[in-house]
Amino acid sequence: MDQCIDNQHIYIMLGLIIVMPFLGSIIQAFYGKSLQVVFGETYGRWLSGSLAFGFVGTSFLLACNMFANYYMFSKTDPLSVRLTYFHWINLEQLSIPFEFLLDPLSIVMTLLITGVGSFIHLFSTGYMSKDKDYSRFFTYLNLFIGFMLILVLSNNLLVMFVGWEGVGLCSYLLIGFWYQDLNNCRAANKAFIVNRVGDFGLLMGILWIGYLLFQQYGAKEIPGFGLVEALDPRWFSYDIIFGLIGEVVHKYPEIITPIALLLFIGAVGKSAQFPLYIWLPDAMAGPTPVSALIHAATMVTAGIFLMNRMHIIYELSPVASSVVALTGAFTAIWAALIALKQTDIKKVLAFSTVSQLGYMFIACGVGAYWVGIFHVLTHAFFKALLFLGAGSVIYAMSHEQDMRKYGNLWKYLPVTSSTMIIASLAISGFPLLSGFWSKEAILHSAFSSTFPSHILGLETSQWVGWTGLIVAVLTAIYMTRMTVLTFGIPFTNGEERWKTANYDSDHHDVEPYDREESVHISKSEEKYYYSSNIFSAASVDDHQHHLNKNHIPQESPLSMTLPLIVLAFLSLFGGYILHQNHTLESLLSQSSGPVYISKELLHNHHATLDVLLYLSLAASFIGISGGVYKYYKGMPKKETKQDHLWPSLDLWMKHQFYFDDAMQTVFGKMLSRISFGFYKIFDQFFINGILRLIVSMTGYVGDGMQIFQNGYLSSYIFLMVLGFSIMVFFMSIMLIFGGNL
Amino acid sequence: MIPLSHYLILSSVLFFIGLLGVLTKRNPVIMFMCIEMMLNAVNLSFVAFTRYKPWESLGFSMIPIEQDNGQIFVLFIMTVAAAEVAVGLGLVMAIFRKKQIVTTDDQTLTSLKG
Repeated sequence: MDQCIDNQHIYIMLGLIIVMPFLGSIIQAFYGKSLQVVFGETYGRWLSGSLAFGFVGTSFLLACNMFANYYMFSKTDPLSVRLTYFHWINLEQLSIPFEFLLDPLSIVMTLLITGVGSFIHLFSTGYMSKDKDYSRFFTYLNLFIGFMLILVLSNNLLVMFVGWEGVGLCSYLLIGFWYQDLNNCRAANKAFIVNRVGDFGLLMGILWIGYLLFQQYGAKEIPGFGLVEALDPRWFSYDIIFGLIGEVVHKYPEIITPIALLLFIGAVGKSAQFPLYIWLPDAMAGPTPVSALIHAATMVTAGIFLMNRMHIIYELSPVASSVVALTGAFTAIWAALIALKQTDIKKVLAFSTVSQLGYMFIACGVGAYWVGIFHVLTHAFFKALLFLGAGSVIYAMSHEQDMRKYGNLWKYLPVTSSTMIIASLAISGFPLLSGFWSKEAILHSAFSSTFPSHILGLETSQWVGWTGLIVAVLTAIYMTRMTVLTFGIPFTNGEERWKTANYDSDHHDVEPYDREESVHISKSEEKYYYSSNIFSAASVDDHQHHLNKNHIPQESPLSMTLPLIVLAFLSLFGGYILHQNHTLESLLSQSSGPVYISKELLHNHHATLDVLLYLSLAASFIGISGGVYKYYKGMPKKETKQDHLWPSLDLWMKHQFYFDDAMQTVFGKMLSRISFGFYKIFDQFFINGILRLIVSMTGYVGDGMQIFQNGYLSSYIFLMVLGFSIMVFFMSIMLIFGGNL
Repeated sequence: MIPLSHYLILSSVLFFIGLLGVLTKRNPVIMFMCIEMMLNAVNLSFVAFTRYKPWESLGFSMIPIEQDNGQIFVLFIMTVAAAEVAVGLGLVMAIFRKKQIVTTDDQTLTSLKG
């Protein structure tokens, strides 16, 4: 209101950017089917897909336009622009306007979401072209873009929370898109429920911040002075929080760490960090474009965005920052180890995403917030490309996702394979590709930061940095493994592998464990489906297997290869463009540069820094060459049995460290035991006991009274006379001793 | 002149004989007769009180008692008693026709006990 820029142009434009995807979603929802009826199956689908792509694309073009405007704008005025659209909640003591914030951070995220989003929409028009729920898919996808834009553009924690929940809903809907398969529904439920744990923490953090500011600066009665009005009761808006939180923390220094940790719990849930990452691998049950858009490029980076948005709070709490960095580092190495042994192409990419998100949290934890966003951007390019490439492969291989049946696809899918190889080189940190720049920046900031916390005599940042280097090697290995297994290694026994694969017993010989479990689940699924089995591992979409020995893979249509090519260019040069002349750093330092920590404190010089460049190059080359050396002949035949260094570790990695099963035991079984105990003690014993006591007491009293109701007329009359006599007796006593009537 | 107390003694003797009859007898016709006796005992005391007006000499003034209310009450009671007997005997006849039994406390008649 006070700061509202009177620029009608930007006001309308931002409104359009946000409304466009919602409009698209509504149109798809209400008229998607009718389009197919009116224009026929083929043209209707084409029109429907074009509309979906068109709305997001328009949003992207508008965002580009606004970025250009805004960028010129910010040269003169580095302040952020706040735009209030309407009042959502307006009370005397609390005001929550529906307001948006345009600053470098939000506009970079907007460009990412609408840009990558529109390419993935384009890809989806091809990928989903044979699906019967074509327009339902685009309804959800457009809705997701809308909510994501609300999330990143809002100037208000509660409005952000609306977007936060909205993208969670869309994620749920899209994971369970093929809802006829119970496993997909279970994966969707798992994602939603695990996210709820994180959202609870986030909401607690948000409300605590609001309450704290209200308590400190709200209107209050001061004795002898009268009522002091609050200046501006928008307790949840970023500008108010950041303006006041420093003062509050100065007064109560111990309060900031729990707030920061609560917000971090929200970020852990949405961005799939260590204890709560379990939903993301199962989320691969959704269609592949969804995995690319929601579960790799945009939604899962909401946690990083939150870190960046609230970075002032984390700067004030070194403890919380250390927790962030350590969680990130641990998740990165944990997920990278798991990714080494997965055989499902989408699972490899899912764990790779979890690992890379850990990387981003390392950056946020050591105080280099803009680096986190830098990696979000480059990761969005190459990981979206990897997923779309995987989608293209899966499309070509009739929805077969097992990498052991791929091989020699280089010959059949030239565009897909070349773009995917670029992406996997980029994520491996191959020099001058985009992943190299952002990963280097993260490691650099990790080694150069000094947060005053030590573990086992070594600084936290050192731990995190060395972990990051190890993860870089692991990343290169598993990406090379995936690429080589998919596109290289032509033959086994002189035939392409999907021709020699044993289709009847493929589940038996390769994964006896999973087989046993799936049988176990299907027996009891009806009974436990809604109660305890939400943590069981859901298999990725295997709803249609048509792969047979005579299959000949074909390259995907242009609508699918065009996004691949564009994203490949971004993966090649995006990192360099963003990094040269510190483009992104100077842009983002306005909104997420350090406020309370001086740059000198942040960047102290370690001996490691001098050789860091060589170390990360070495990590990349060791990983790539190691992966090629191990897998150029194909998957080692007996990988799960012998022929490797640590047998048990291998098996643990293959089964994701049994973490899912542990969670199933702890939260599924143990919690149901505990609740059964509570049911027995509280419900059965106390509440039912009290009820039964009342009932039986009434019964006993009734039984006692029954002896008077014996059915003999004379006894009734006798009782009547007796009662009457007693009454007369007392009345006469009263008459005699109590004076006259 | 016979004093008031004689009438009252007779009245209460009649009343308790009636009461005893109601409590002990199991034949409804005899029970009706006993009830009539109790009612008439009350009637007798009404008539006696109205005739002697003992409250005038005792000096009660708080209860405004009309002069001949007792006599009128007797007429009402007799009317009500007649009606009651008519209904009651009707019921007894009906039960007798149905069950061939008129004894109270019979098992076939006490099925409504609570």
